Amino acid sequence: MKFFDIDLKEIGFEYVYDQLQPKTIFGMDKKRNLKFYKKHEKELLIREFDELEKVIEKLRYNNEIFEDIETILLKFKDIRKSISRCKNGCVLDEVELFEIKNFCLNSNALRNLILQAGLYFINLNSLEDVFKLLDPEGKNMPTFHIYSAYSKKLEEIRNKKLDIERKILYELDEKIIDILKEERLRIVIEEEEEELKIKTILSEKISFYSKKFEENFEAIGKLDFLIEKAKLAIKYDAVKPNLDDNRICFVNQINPYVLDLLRKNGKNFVPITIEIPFGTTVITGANMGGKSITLKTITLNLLMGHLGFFVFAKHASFPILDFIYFVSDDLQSVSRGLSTFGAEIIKLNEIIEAVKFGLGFVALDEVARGTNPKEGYAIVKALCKYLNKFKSFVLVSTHYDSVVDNDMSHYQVIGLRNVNFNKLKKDLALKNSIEVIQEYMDYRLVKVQSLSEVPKDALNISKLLGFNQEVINMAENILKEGEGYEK
Amino acid sequence: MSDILSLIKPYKTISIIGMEKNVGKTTVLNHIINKTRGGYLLGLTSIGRDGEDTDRVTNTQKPKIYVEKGTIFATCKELFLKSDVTKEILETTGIYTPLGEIIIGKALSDGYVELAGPSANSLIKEVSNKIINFGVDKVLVDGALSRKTMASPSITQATILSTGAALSKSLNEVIDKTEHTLRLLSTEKESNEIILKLAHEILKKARLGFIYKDYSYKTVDVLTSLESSKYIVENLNEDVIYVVIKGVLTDKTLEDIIKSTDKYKEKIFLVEDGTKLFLSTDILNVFIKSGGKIKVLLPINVVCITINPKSPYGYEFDSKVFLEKMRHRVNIPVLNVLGDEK
Repeated sequence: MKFFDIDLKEIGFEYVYDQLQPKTIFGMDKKRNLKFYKKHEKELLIREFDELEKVIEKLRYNNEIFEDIETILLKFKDIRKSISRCKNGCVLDEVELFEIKNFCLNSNALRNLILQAGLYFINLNSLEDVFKLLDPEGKNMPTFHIYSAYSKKLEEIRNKKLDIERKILYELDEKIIDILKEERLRIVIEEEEEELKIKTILSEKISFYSKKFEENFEAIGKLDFLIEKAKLAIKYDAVKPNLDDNRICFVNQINPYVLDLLRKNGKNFVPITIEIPFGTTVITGANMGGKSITLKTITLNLLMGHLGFFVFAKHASFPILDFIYFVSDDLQSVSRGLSTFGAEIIKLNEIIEAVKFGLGFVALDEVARGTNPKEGYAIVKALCKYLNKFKSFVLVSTHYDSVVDNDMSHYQVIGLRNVNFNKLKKDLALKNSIEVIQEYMDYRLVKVQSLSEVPKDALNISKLLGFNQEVINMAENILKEGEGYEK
Repeated sequence: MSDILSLIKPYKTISIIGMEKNVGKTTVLNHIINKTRGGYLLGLTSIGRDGEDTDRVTNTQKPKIYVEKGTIFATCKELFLKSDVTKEILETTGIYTPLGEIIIGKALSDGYVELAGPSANSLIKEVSNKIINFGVDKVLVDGALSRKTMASPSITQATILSTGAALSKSLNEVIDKTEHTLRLLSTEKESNEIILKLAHEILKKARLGFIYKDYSYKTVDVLTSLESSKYIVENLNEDVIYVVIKGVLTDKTLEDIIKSTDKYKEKIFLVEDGTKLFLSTDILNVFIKSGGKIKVLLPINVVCITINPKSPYGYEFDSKVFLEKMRHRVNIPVLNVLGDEK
C-alpha cells in the first residue's frame, strides 16, 4: 500500500517544497528522501517535532549565530565518495586529502557553533585527530600538500630536486640543461614514489575514522534540513501539530501556494477551520466557493505533518495515518489510456480496499462530476454511505447537497448567503467582472446541524451574471416542485 | 624579445593567443615566465585546453610550461595531479571541466605544469580573480583563437597575439592573415554608454536584437547565429540604429545581408568582441565601403605581436625579413620568439 497518493503540485506541496534550500549535499539528500512517519514511529515523529520547535525558537531568538552556521554549511563539499574509497582500501589523491582536511576544519568550526547555539540534539564528532594528521607541521591552514614532515626520505628527495633546479636555472649550455633535466626527472619519479607511500598510509589512517565521517554527514544533513524546515515554519507561522488518535482538527489553516497567489493579486486567503470525525464528512456549497481549496489545504497540511513539518494553521491535531489519498475531478490517467471517469473508478476501488485495513485520510474532490447528474449523485451518495462505516477520515466535496445522511458530518461554504444582493448588483454593474462575485464570496465553512434548505447560490450567481430570466424562472419552479427530486 | 616585459608591465592580467596551433604561443609563455623570474610573482591559467605533450596532428614536441617555485596556477584536476612540481593545493574552485574540477595550486618547486582552465568568460574571470587574491603580481592567461571557445581575451587587460610560419608556407599570406586578424581583434569599441547598456540587456535575452532611434529595442529568437541573416534583413528599417549580434558574425551572414538589402548602410552592427568576427578581408571591405559599420562591446587590447619563423612542418622563414615585413604592416611592436635577444 502506498502511504500517499496525491498530485503534489495540485495541493500546493511542490510550492513549499521548492522553498526548502538546503546548503549542503547532505541536506539536499534529506530533502530528496523525505520520510513519511508511520504509526509505530510516533516517538520519532514527536522527537522530530520537538527538535524542529527548538530550532525555530533559537532561530527566532538568535538569528546571527544561524547566519554563521549557514556560512559554514555552504563550505562543506561532498567527500562521501572519498571516504567510501578509502574505506575500500583505495589510495586518496592530494585533492581528496585537501577536501577531507577542509571538511575536518569546517566540521570543527560547526561543532563550536552548535554548542554555542545550544542545539544539543545535533551530534557532530570531533575530527581534530584527522585534521592533525593532515596538518603535520601544525600550520592550521586550509591548504594541503604532501608535507616533507611526513618522511625524512621525502625531505631529502625534495632537497635534491631543489638543488638540481637551481643548477638548471644558472646553466647556460642547452646540452647540459637537457642532461640536468633528465636527472631531475629521475628525482621527480623518486618523489612521486615516496609521496604515494605517504598517501597510502594517510588513506589507511583516515579509513579508521570513516564511521565518524559518516555520522557527521548525517548530522550535518539533519541540521541543514531542520534549519530549512524552521525557516518555512516561521515564514508561514506554522504550528506544531498535536497527535490526537481520535479526530482531525484544524483551526485557521492556510495553503501557502494559494495564499501567495492571492496576495500577489492584492487579495486575502480566508483561513479554514474544520473538525473531521471518523467516517464521512461532506462539504457542500456553490461553485467558485473554494471547496476544492479546502480539500487541498487539509491534504497538504496532513501530508506536511506526516513528513515531520510544522503545519500551516493556528492549531492542528490528527492521528498518525496509514495513508493519505486525494482524488480530484481533474485526475488524469494518461499512461493507462483511460477516461477521467474510468481512472476515478480504479482509484476509488483502491481507496475502498485501503480503508478496510488501515486508518487513513481520503479527500474526494467532486468525484463522478463527469457523469450524468442522476447517476453521479447515486454514486457519490453510495460512496459516502459505504465509507462512513469505516474508521478512517473521508472528506467529500460535492454540489449534491442531499448526499448527506444524518450520521455524517456536514459543512457548507457560507458563499453568498449573507450578502446584500442589491449592493453586489450595483458593484457588478460598475465593474462588470466575475471577480466582484469572488470578493463577496464568504469562503468560511459552517457546520450544518440538520438538513436545511438547498442553497441557491448557483441561481443567484446566474442572475447576477445576467442569465436569461425565463430560464431562471423555470429553474426556480422546478426546484419548488421537486425539492429533493434526487431522493 | 626582452622588451616584452616592459610592454606588459602596466597590466595585471595578460592573455596570449595564437593565430593557429604550433605558432609558438607556449614558447612566448615560457619566455615571459623565464624573464620575470625573481621579479614578478606569476599566476597562470588557460582558456580551454593547451600545452599537450605531443600535438596529435603533427606529432611535434610541444613545450610544456616550466614554472618557477612560488607560481600560482589554476588547472583541471587531472592535469594538476600530473604536474611534476611539488604541489600545494590552495583552493578547489567548484568549477568543473571535462577533465575535472579546476584546482588552484602553488608550485613549491620549479617544474612543468599543464594548463586547462574553464571555457566560459565569466568562469575564467572568476578563476583569474581567485589567483589574484592569492597575491600574485600578474596573471597570464593562455588563450585560444577559435570558433569553439566561448571565452575571449577581452577578459584580460592586455593581449599578445602570436603568429608564425606554421600558419602558411607563404610568408606574405602569414603576414596578410596576421594583419587581418589584428584588425578584427582591434575593432573599435562602442562608446555610447546607453547603447552598451541596452546591448547587454539584449544579449542576456536573445541572440539577436535591434535598437531603434528612440532607444527602444526588440529581440529576436534565433537558434544559431548562422541563420540570423534572414531575421536581420527582415527587421532592418529606417528606425533601426544598431543591430546587436550574440556569438559569431560570419562572411555568410554579411554576404546574405549585402545581397538582399541596402538598409544596413549607416547602421552599426555590434558584436561582443573582436574574436567573434570570422570575416574575410574581401567581405569586410565591401561591407564597410558600402557604408556598414561594425563595433564591439568589449575591446581587446593587443599590445604586441610575436612571430615564430620556424614551422613544425619542416620549413622556416628568414626571421629578419619576417620581422621587417610584419613591422611594416602593423603599428604595434613585433617581436621574434626565437632568440633575437643577443
